[in-house]
Amino acid sequence: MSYVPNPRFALEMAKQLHEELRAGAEEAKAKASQLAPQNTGRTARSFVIREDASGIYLGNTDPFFHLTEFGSANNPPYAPLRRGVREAGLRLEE
Amino acid sequence: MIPYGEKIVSDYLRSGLDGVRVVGKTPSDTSSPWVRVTQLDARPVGGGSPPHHFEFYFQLDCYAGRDGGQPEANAVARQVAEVIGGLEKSNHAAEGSIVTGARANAGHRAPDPDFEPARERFISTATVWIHS
Repeated sequence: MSYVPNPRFALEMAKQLHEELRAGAEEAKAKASQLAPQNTGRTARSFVIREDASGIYLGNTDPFFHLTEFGSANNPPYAPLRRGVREAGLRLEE
Repeated sequence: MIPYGEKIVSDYLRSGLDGVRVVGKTPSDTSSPWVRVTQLDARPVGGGSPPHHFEFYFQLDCYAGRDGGQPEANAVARQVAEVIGGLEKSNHAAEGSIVTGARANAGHRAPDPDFEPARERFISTATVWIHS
């Protein structure tokens, strides 16, 4: 038996990591959509996943989403994004 | 049975905060500062059947009073984070349950536009582990 280094190891690990992160983001997005208020469905439909060189991001394009997520004096925090991330089994760090 | 997390945390905050009301919904009198406690999640951790150890996730809205402004909201948030930190150290027992861990952040500043003018607020979160 001998050790043969894999010159493509870093590349293959990066590819696999990206796939795992993407799968996690998709799962969190699906959960968040389910947990969003369903009155008009606008918030639930507005979750998006974006990627750039620094990572994969899950957000919502509804301009009033911050009120749905965090609430206000007259509205409870529904927190679909934070709860969706937790429901997907991911660890939420704040 | 799942512990009564909201009551355990709210009662503990009331015992540790000075001059700040602890509520479950926005009070009718908003002239003095308050903290609104909202349970966002409670899930079993650590296995076992039936489950007996739970992780609670709270949002703590730390509001300034009518004239307190940003400094007051900030102070409330920092007080809340300190009290929650003490909750972990105390192994607090209440409602037939024991707190086994707690952590909170001092949150982010998010003035509430439901007020005119917008009321200064910090939104904090806390994670509390309770054994029933």
